[in-house]
Amino acid sequence: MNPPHVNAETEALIQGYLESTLTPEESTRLLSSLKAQPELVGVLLDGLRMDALIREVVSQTGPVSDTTSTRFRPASAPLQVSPTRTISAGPLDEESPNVILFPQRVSAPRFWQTGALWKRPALLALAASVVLLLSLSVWYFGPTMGRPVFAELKGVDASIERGTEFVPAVNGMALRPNDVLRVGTNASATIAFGTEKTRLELTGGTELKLASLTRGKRFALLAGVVEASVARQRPFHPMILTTPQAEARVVGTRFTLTASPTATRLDVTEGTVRFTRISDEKFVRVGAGDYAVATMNSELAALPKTGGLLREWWSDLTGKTMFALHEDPRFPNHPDTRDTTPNFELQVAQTNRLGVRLRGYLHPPVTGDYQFWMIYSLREPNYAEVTMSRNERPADRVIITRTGIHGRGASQAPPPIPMVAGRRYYVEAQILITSESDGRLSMEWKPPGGTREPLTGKFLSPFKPK
Amino acid sequence: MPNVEPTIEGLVETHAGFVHALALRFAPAPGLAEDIAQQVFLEFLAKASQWDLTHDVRPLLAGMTRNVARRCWRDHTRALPEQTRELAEHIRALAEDQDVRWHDEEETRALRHCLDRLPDKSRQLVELHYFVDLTSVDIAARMAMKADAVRRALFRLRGQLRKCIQSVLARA
Repeated sequence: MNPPHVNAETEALIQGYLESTLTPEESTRLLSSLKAQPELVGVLLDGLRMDALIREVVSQTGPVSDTTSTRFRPASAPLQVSPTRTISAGPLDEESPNVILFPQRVSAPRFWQTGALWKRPALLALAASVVLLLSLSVWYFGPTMGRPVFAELKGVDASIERGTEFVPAVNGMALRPNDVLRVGTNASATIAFGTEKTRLELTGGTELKLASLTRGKRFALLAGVVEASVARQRPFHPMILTTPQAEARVVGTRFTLTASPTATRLDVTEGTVRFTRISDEKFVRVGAGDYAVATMNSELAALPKTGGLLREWWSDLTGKTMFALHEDPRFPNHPDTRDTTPNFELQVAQTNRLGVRLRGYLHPPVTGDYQFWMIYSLREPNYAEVTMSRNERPADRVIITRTGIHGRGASQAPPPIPMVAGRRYYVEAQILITSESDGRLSMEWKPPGGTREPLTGKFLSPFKPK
Repeated sequence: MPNVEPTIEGLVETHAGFVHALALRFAPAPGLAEDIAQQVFLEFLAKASQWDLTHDVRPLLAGMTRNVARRCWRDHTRALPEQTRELAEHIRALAEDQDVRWHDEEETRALRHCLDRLPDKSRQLVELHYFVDLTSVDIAARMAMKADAVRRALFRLRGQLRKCIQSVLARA
């Protein structure tokens, strides 16, 4: 049988019903259409069925598109956060008191598809007991239907601004929409959501406003740091945290959001967060192990978390010139050792015929001109150089400083190098010790408007060799 | 004594589609069919020792589905505005007489194939709506479009995917 003809207006109305976003007036219009054309109910049921199918596939395969690939691909790993969802409450309890936390359908296999439960009668009995216990506990603590019924506050030295009043916060106190929670400098607090496995940890000096709970949890982080562990949220009810510069939209993940007057930084530990810069509506998807910063005059991008450089060692070099490292057959792909160093520095003691390479990326915190100094203690013919790219490609690197130029005590200032915040720049240092001696090398830099200081691992991330 | 465990597992697998389809007829609202099906099987499991699994359990599952759906539907519609509740009840009355089928593994595989071949704009819509969980109104606000235009686009996109699935299954 051919599907019925659906005009454009009815298409929009049916879609509105499938999203539960119809206004009362639109509901009346769709009702009229259905009365005039009852066969439309088949279209509507098919829409519900297709939506369930699409949602299931999309949740299993991950995002449909991202910055690296526009094709569907299997998720590289299963979701880390165990999704939980209350699937019955209220009237469902009239005949059976069961209110059961259950893996959410969109990201976990159905329990009957796992099979393991049925292998042993004891396991079956145990599973039934666990289900019963969960049912009773959730029934005891109240209904949630996947939404926070109340937010529980833990911690000391915190207060709540509620309208024109200031209320001292105490354990177990419920938060209401528009409450502003202020945590003292030496305190911390946790916001919980009933039986839902979502937690917001607030460090000292944090101000957080509960904006709304009507269509998902909405918070405004006014200042400070929030570490969040968010269970998978209901469809169309993502948790949203906004700051003066950005918006983090969360379906289920673990992350840390840090807000200051000029910038917001998001660090994701598990899952994925959609991070939107409010000033221009640009957004980026930040995955596990990555971070992004929203601020003016910077590029919004998801970058690997910072923390040190890759360090590679070649020992027993045969050559005696400054080219000994490059002439060695093991260079560049087969070092004797690889590890990471937390900062841009290297120290060797009484060694000989050694080559070391530090590799990674520099993450400038603000946009502007930077200057770099190599601080070294090496006797000739020992040699060191630092190279850098104007992008993240190693092939584009050029020497920015080497032994004999701009070292400690040199009077000439190094040339400024323009850099953009939000991008990363490939950086590499090579050190060659051909004559037995002690040696030491580190880097200092001067950010725009800042002072000369050591270049620490906070602004570096290691190169990942293939 | 019969080997009960694999029988239950098999029954659940066999009848999952049946229960989902029935739940959709009795409670035609977004997300309810899956909730109801899970609740039915949990209640079925909780009373597993009472059932004679050597007989056809469909009538039993159908009865359980009807009961769970009724409770769930009552809870769902209670919070709706009057006009929306009237619409929902009308749809439910019509849906009960419909022949509904739930999707199976073949359709799931076919849909993966079809999603892979979507153009960029459609993929973005799918992601925003089904992965990020934005409604048409939210998407419209972000893409500077009218909400009705996004609704229609999603409606038609679903139709394209349905046709694609049918085409893939026919070729197979």
